[in-house]
Amino acid sequence: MAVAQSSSQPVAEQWQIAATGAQDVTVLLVLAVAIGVGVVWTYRSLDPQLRKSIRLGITALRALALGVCLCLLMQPSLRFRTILNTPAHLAILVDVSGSMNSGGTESRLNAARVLLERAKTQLRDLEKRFNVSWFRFAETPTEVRDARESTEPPAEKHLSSNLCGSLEQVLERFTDEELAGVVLLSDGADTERPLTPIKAEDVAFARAHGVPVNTVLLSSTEHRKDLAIAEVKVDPIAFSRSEAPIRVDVKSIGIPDREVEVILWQDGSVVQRRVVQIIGGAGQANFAVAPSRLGPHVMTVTVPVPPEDKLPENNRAYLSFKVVRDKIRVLHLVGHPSWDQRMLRDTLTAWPLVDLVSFYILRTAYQSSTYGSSGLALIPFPRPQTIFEKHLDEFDIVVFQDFKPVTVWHERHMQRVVDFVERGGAVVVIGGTHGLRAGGPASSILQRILPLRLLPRKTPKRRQNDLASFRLNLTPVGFRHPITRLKTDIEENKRLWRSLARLDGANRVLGLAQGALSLAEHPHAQVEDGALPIIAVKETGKGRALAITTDALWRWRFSGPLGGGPLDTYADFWHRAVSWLTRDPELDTLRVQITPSPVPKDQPARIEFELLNEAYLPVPGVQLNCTVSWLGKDGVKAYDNFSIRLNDQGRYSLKWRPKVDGPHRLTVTGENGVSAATRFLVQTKNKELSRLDANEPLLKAIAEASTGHHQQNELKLDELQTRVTATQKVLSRVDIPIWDRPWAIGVFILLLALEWVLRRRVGLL
Amino acid sequence: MPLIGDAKTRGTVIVRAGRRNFAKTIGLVAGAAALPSLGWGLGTASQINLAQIVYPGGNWQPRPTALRRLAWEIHKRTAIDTVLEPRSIKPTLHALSSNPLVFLAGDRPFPAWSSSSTNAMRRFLKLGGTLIIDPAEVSGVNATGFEESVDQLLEAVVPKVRLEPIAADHVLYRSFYQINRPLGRVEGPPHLWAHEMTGRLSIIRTRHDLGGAWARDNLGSWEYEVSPGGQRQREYAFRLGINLVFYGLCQDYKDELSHRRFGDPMVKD
Repeated sequence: MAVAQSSSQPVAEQWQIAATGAQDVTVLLVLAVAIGVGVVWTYRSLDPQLRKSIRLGITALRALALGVCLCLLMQPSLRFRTILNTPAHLAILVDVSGSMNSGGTESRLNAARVLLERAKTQLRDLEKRFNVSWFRFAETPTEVRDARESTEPPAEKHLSSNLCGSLEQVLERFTDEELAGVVLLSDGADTERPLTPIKAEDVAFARAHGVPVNTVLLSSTEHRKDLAIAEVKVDPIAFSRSEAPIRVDVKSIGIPDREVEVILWQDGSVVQRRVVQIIGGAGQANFAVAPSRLGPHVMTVTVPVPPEDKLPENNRAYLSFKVVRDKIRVLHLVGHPSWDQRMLRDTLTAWPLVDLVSFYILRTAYQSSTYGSSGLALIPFPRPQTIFEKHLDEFDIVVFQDFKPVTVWHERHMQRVVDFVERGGAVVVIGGTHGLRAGGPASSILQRILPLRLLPRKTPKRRQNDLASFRLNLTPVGFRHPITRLKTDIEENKRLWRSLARLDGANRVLGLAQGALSLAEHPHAQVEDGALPIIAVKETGKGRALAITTDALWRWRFSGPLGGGPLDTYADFWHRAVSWLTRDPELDTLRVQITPSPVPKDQPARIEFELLNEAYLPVPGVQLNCTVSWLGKDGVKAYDNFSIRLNDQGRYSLKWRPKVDGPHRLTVTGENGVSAATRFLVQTKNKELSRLDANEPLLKAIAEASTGHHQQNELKLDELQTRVTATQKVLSRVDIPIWDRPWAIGVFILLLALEWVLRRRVGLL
Repeated sequence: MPLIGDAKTRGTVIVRAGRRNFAKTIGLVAGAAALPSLGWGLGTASQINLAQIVYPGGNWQPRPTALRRLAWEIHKRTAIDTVLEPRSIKPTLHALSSNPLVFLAGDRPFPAWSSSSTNAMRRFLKLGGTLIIDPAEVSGVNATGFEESVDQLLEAVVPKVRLEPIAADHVLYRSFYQINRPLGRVEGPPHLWAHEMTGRLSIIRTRHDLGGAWARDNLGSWEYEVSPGGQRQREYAFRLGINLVFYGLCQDYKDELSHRRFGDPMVKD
């Protein structure tokens, strides 16, 4: 505890009296209170008949003795220190990003150099008071030796601006040191933050450090004449068949306001055009595209290049987004209400991705004709032509659940379903009382697309079904197929399937159709070519078909333990089935993945290939021929071809270096006939080119938040705001104890002795 | 009669039945109507069992023939393939999982269920099961006691949940028949009560003694008089029973707005 201190010099010796003993404030307070109580008790215990001066004298001697005792407990020492007074740091940051660097000798960076040159004398004075650290920054800050180095143009001309991030990094670098202030010379452009009005939270970091940031705006624009696409905004995920809005901000500097045509391109073709009126140097074009193809999309936006435009590079911009399915439209045709129908309905209606249209047969024809329609609550049931000729293509999946279409609808409607599947639609046929029994779809043209060969019409009834309950077995294909691979780990998947409820019976069939795959089969019942398939799939034309030979899958809905485990196994199964049926790109058998997205130009991208067969087993050793094309506004130009051969796991990975920026397409064809195409974007970090105008509000906000000073195109160092000028560093310290000297004990004894003498003289002893 | 090409028929979509083919068509549809009873199904999982809950104490089956008769009426009037001799089940996990629609009836107090039974019922309702509570109104017996026991049971199964009246425009009243007000053996209140769980009615409670209106002995005589509406009221009681089963199976099918986009209806169902 310091009790005295001498004055200081830049490097100075100081002394002070310091306590080296009991320093606990609580203990000292308790002792002080005890002394006070003791002193009061001493005074009150004296005979009131005594003269007051005597009583006060005795009390004072007791108080002094106790005080000396307390001092001894604190063990006072004489402390000698050698102090070094260190000047605080002052950080000076110079922005060397692309927006500062363009314009040659008239660049803002050159203006910064001129300002620092003019302030050379003041800077020298500043260096006497502060420890000045110099930084230059674009994407990140770099410490340099002096002012000259800080304003040297960087080798890369169009570095992006990470103003706030760089400033924050510099402030954090001085966390353990005394930073008196910051001087920031910049045009305020920060390409890492969006083009939105500045909010308090954007500059909260500057306030949090408590260091004044003095900002100097460099905003000369005389040399610039530029029309640029400042920003393109599009959601990274778009939904198929839904409009995806695209907003394009156009800015101009030094060019008179005019009408500008903004064009949106894809694969070398114009998608949309907009005419934008530039007012006050800014304009906005809004596009809306409704892509139907799933997967990545890349597009180009252009504005014309006026003759006076000094920077034609920023008149073009690229955008990329991924299209996912918005809604999967399912037509659910049900032969009669059942628990299987109810649980499937529950699952599909609870899935926001599915748009379900159901038609249930609630009465047989006989019932309709016998009982009439009196009192019934009926909904319109459309004509078959309406469903199959007008609206079928609106759906992604048609589900026939325990439904015998052949006896209800004409063959030509079933032919529409076959065409629908061969064009890329999907069909699900679920068995039961009517669905897959002999004489059902077997007699229909629908049989052509089903994964199963159904029993002929005249099959005896006793042979049409297997009524024994069973627990189905996954086939080797079923363990890997996305529909039945409910758990990634194969052993875990096996355990899950073994834990599912037993099923009550199955429709017998002749066997699998050609090209079909059985995913799950009956444990005992046999057909011509093996076990009775329970879940089977088939690719038909561009579409897919799924058949289930039982109507008891609904039992899985109730088979899990409450609140956990395979509670949603039933829903999971159907979600997977729907994803496979609708060709979710995630489940493609030839998978091509390009990372990162977008691919930075001049940096290698990683391209990974994986090939699976229809059974989702790896296909090793296949040669894949790849073509990379550039999809510019001038058309599609192939510019790189290479071949790879897949390894034993059916995979291959390579690094590929792009040569040009813009939209690209990678087309892959295998020697076994498989093919895939994906699009990706190669992008130069040219955001800087689109943000050439100064952003004074950001610099002002930083200065205000940090209690710094803001200046425009001038550097007055005498107006800088700083918080401290120096810090002290203790070079050496010596403590000389003064409490353990004999005289200190002597004073204590002397005071007690004097009190004793005084008490004796007044007759108290 | 709506027509569709020259298709054969069995289903809602109706055959083109010219005079010449009338006899043939009648033969076909009659045969088709008989299909469910020919045992072509895949066993009991394909059929709808109107299960009645057996519980200890009280009287779990005050109208023993009621569900059998309702099952027959459903079989006769609709495409639902019902088990004609409904089973009685104990409220166990296994039994409830096989019968997603269960009836609880009674006419006197009954003791509290075991915790395993209440847990099983809670899980059953959560996973999609439907419980229909139908007290029997019997003169001279403490029917109020049954209601109180049901209240205690529901408190154990779904604590702090209060059954609310079902609005008159709810799809339950349109799931097959158009019903203006619920009626059973007795006229009862103008609505049913229910507990809604994730958008569906999981517990439905009547106070109309539906079982009393449905009950019919083996000789074909109605077991209880229906008042005040007589046979017409009995028909409405059956219609309500059929609607309850249809709601359990089809849920809000009749509320699907997307049907409208198809327009140009051929028939209604």
